[in-house]
Amino acid sequence: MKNLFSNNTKIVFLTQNTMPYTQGLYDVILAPQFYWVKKVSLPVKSLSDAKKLSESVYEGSLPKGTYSYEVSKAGDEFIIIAFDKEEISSLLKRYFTKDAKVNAIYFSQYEFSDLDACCTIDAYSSLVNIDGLLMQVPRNCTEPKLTIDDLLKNVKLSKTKVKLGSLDHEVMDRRTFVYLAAGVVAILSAFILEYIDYKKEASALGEAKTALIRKYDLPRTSMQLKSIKNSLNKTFKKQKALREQLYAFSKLPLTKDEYIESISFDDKGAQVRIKVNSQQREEMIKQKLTPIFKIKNSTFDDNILTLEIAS
Amino acid sequence: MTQKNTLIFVVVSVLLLALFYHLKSDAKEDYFEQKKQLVLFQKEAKEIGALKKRFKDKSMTRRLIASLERISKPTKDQSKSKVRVLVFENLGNNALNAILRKVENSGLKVKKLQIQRVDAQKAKVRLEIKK
Repeated sequence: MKNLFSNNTKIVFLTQNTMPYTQGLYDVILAPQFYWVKKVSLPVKSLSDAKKLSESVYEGSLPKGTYSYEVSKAGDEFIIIAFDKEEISSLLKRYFTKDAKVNAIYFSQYEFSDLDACCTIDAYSSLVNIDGLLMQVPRNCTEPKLTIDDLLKNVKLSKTKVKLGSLDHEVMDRRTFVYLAAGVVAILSAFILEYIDYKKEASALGEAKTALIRKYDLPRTSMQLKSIKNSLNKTFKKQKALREQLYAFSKLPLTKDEYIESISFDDKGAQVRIKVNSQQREEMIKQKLTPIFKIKNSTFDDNILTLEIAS
Repeated sequence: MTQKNTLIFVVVSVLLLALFYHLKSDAKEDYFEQKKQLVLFQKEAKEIGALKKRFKDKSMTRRLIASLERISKPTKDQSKSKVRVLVFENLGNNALNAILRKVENSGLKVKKLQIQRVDAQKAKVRLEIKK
């Protein structure tokens, strides 16, 4: 990914005689031999309308391939460039190998549009501007004053880049990709394993719940469960109260002549009749029972203390 | 690896990682929630189980009644639709205490309990047990 953000690029002019590059980052200016160019007069004014007509302009004149078109205006006419993205891509792969990367691609038509002299490319060809169209011709200039290197030194790259798919240049080598992919796969595997593990554990919890339901013969819904629990708790409280009352009366500190004549317990509470010796004893017994029970009513008649206790 | 492929790889990776992280997090949250629920359920189940055993175990009720009958044979043993009524008469001190202790410590669902002194030595107990 290091090449994605760095701007240490070198401008090169690419022809079929160029030696392959093996290192570095390059802005590539394509020689005219890698595309087709025409200057035409069209019955339209806008570039977008002209672009729609581009295919028909070249109809029947291009070798077999899938072509894209780049249109620019030149006075009243249009310059239409036809280029095969796939072919250019494979061309770049051939000329930029190993660690050599392409940053951007340009047409020499746009980059050297103001060329007004014959420019020597190499020992076999030259670049010339014929009526606004840049052509590569297979001969040397008669006066080889200007070379392609001179042009490249002073060139200011335009904004018209060749779009091969805007993201088609190499940014990562295979090894880095493999490491990254392995890392992603490892993290994904960890997530998946953890997910499966949690699901398994959750399923085990579900089974444990089912086992509890079976063991205690419980209903499945929480509402039924709550209702059963409430009913059982109510029973438990009543029964507990009854037993507490029974226990408390059995522990009453009665004197020798005193006795419990009768006790009756039910859901509403208890009623007890106690034979006591005196009013003072009656008070004492009541005092003993008051902190434990809620006495609803009490009477004392003929040495018989009658108490009504709430449950 | 072209920039386009790298971008696709990064996007797909991020999406997959986010998706599986989300799934995993959900599963984790779900698991801990279920675990918490199970602990509560277990506690409730045990509580209900214990209460059921105490108040709904019919064989235990039968055994307890039989043990009461062994202490003193009831003079009346009447079964109604929802209650069983046992009446013990002429109970001495020991028998009365034994019956009351049994009732006190048992899980019998007592609907009504009446204890009546007959004289200094004898008492009568009427016990209504919910079925």
